[in-house]
Amino acid sequence: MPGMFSELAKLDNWSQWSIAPMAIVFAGAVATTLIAGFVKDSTRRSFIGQISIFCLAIAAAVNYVQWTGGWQDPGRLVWAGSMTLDYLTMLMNFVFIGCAILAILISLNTISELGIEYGEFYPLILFATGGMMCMVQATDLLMIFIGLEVMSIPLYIMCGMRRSQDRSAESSLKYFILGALAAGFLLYGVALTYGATGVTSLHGIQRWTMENGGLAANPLLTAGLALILAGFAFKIALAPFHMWTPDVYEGAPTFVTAFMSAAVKAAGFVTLFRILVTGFFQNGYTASLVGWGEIIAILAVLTMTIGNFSALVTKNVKRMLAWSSVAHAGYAAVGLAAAPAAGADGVGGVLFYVIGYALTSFVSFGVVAAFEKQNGGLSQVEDYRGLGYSQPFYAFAMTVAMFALAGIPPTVGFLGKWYVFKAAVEANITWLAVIGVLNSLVSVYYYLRVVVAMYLESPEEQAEQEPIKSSALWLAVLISTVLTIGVGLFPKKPLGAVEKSVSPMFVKK
Amino acid sequence: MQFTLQHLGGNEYSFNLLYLIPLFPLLGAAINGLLWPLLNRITLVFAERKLPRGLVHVTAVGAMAASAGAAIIAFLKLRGLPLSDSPVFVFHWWDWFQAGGLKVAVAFRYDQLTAVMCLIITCIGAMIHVYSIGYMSEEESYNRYFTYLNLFVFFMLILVMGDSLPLMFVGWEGVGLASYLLIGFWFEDSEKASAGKKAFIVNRVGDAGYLLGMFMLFVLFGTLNFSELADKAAASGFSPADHPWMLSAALICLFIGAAGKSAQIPLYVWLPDAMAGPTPVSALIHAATMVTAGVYMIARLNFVYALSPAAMTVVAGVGAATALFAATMGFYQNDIKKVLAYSTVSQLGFMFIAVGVGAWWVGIFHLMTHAFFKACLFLGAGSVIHGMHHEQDMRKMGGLKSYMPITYWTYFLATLAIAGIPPFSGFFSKDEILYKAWTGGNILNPAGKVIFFTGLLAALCTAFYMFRSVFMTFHGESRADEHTREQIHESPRTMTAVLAILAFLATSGGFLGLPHWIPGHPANVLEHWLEPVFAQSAGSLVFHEANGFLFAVISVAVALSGILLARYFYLTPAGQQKAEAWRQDFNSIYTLVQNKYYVDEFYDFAIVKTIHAFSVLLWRIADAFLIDTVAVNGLAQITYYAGYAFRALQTGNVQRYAVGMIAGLAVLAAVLAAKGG
Repeated sequence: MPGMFSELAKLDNWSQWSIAPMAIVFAGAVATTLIAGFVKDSTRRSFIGQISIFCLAIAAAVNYVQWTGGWQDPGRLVWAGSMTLDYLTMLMNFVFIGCAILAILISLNTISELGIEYGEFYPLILFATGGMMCMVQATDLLMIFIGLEVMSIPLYIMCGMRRSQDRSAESSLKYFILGALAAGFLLYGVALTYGATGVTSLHGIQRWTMENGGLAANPLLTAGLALILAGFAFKIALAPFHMWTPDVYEGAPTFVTAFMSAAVKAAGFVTLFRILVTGFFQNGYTASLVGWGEIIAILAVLTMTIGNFSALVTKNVKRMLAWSSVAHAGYAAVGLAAAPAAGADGVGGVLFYVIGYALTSFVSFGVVAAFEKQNGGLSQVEDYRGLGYSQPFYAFAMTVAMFALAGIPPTVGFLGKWYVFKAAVEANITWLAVIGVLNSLVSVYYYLRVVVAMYLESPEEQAEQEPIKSSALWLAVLISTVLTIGVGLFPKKPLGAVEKSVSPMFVKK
Repeated sequence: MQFTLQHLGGNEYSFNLLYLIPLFPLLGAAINGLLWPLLNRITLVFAERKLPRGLVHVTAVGAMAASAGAAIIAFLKLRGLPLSDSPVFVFHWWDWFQAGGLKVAVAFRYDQLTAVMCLIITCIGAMIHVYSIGYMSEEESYNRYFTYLNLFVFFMLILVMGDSLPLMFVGWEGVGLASYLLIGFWFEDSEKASAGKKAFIVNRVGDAGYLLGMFMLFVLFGTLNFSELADKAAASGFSPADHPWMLSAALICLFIGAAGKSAQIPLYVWLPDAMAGPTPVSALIHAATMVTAGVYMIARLNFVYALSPAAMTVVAGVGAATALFAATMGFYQNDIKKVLAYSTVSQLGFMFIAVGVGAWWVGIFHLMTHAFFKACLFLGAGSVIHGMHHEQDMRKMGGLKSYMPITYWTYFLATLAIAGIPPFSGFFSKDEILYKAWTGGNILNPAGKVIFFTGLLAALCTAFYMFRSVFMTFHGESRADEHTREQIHESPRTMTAVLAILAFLATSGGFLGLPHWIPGHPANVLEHWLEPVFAQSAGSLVFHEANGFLFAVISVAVALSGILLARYFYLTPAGQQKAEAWRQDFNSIYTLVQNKYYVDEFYDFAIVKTIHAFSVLLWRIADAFLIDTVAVNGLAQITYYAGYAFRALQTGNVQRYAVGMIAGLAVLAAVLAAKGG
């Protein structure tokens, strides 16, 4: 079909330039796949990881050029209206690339420790990153779906990479089966939406709902929205679509868990609010056309409560962090629930929250990864006793992470909670903020338990508390710890970037 | 470095010395926590010797002295400016964050109120650091102790110097953290570690109130900066009547925060347990400074509290109830530090009465005198414990007067102060509180009168249980065993010198706030000094006239009868028999009080157990499927079931999860359809 290619060639430069970072990541993925085939010696596998980091760094540099003015017209639609390049996309590209780099750093030396003897991990993480970038950049439901699948399929594989471990295989399988169900929801939702409105582009849906008086006019669209919400609620683990989370997070290799909890969740949230705000929302935020705010509020309450109370009785640290990750999706959802009334403040809260949470995730899971070994290592809270004295660096990092997760200033976790709860009060849903604050109160108990074990309890016998020797892992934990405190102390630039990203979504056009 | 005092216009002056006040303790903590241990390792390797221990306390005390010096310089500069202009020093360090209309800066505010607080914190803090040199001399983790102590002072200074509620919250959380680390300092004892945890968690309940109150204030006023809040509250556009419940709700939420930090009903339970920490810590954190943060916060927000009589009534009412309730619990404590802990809770109640009835400066006055006499009492108790080789039970003391004369006299003077005997400091401040409670017309009627009588009764109890502790510890026959008695000794000079200074302050501190009824009307220094801070709310507050001298007479009579009662029951044989007889007769009341009214047990049952049960329930529903079927049993049997694993997964949990998802979807669709757009 020669015609197809000539059509492509006719596309304007803007379209090609707009996806440059994503294209670089995908190119890196393909290249590393090929290289992995030739690197037989498992001790040299980290070489592939270094190439991957290199590719990601180039993508980040290009993204930086676009952010600082290389892209003249933020928000302009490209690729026949199915994509856009706005500040939100560019900011998220930074986040995804950063998460991928941190995950690779954590994995470089730990991966062989876990008995994962395959070089495919690095191409997979690049593919997943590219998928996220595509998903966030897309403004068309079909394109979003493609991005989502490109992100998800590598994740299914990565979860099961510790093949010798039953838990890992189980994790992968569960995630895959339930993920397929959720993908089915989403695709069905897209189909119904198309059936109702005749379009799949978000701007088209918005036009249709405004002209036709919202959802009430069309039960098909109502069902479509419900299905789309359910599909995304699965990805970001909102109750009652969260049940896979603890099993999958616990079973997956820890660097994959960190990546999922940080990047996948961020990608899911951002895409969800892009769909809701662009597609199902009256611009200029006079009023929401549909009552999704209330639904998200209910899901947020369920998610926070179930996540926190389950974490309370969980003794395995990694599983506790998985439940805590569920709870944090609930806090972020508070901001989303506030978005119909609080506008950019609500969505900005969500965005800042997920970015802050991503940083903290890498600290906490990074420390867990440092002590996770093929046989044994530290897994229960009791195993962390006295770590403050045997491993001061990792224990300090873990303490920072726990305080950040509990929302104690001056960490980034405090600011994130501050932002979303304030949005809820401003949106006149104070009850939701009250439940959120009470929930974060409960959460202090189980976060503190880890700190207490590390500093205020002595190990019963001389426990084996040697971390995996890896300067890359050490560096990843250091970077994310410094950022967790640093962004908490000097959040001006990140907050500015967040506001720059979300405010155009609420400008009257 | 150049320090410039620059007039910014209005009553604000920029003074860049301010940031040094909190910076010095932070540096001290950093050097003791990071630099010395690191150098120690190096010298151990290369020179095979340790650094001298003296470095640690020289650093810590030096940092405190420098901080106190900076605070004093700022105070003198502030005093040099005419008070009638209500001058304020500010220092803008950096913009912290800006989120949707709210701008928060890391900026300090040094006005007359801050000056009082800073002087108390840095000067008493410095003295307690000196005292700690002797008290902790045998401690192995010497540098850890001083690191935490300096860190605490840093956060406490942030708390009082922050110019906005969010920045105050940073200090608020920080002191909680430092207090938690210090309570659990001797964590080898698991009971002590769990006391730290309890303090932290109970405080978080209060923090939840603080956060919610802060959000609501923001919604009402659109700012959280103190001076902007004051402007907004004063503006004619703001009328409390427009927000009938929101303002009171916000202020009551903030008061819940204050109740957590300042150990008021129902959140006082952590403070008695916090006595597990080293005694100088109890003196500094759990008596003189941190626990008064709630009182400070309400005084700082006086202009908004003055708008809500309902919130003020709550503050004063809870304060009065706590004052009495905690005082009765002091009756039967046998641990010398526990007596002082309940007495702190009770005295904090008095401070809340003061700020609750709108007598802001009196609250700060009592805060100050309490810092003097309670620090002296705690350090005196520490000296006793030190001399008795870690014995805290007063039943095993007695007769220490002759062994430890300096400790005895200082403790005795401070006890006179807390009991309210003129002319000791506590008399002036407590008497003024009761007087203001009776004459104040700012809270809902007739709460003021009830609060007055409650306070009076609490004052009687205070005189009684405090003298009980003096008599049990220092008078009568020694009840210590032979071995201990031989080794009882007066404490080292670093400790007794500090005791003497504090006893002097406890004796004379009251002259800063002389009451009006004294012939010749001497100037009330403190009230005058604090006038600019409370000027805005002063206009709307009403205090009736009454004969102050009469109140003073009643006060003294009450205090004396408390002392005489204590003397009768604890020093005379007849009284001791009578007390024993009554104990038999009223056994149930005795047990009730001795068990602290079973409040801890009630909380354990009503809150801890309930939350736990709820979690377990959720866990059963959500988690147990997997844990029981796969993880716990499964791992053991995994080889057995290996072949079935795949099938087990398919037919078991995943299906349930999927059912959950589909049910969720159905509900979601139903709700959306019901909303119908």
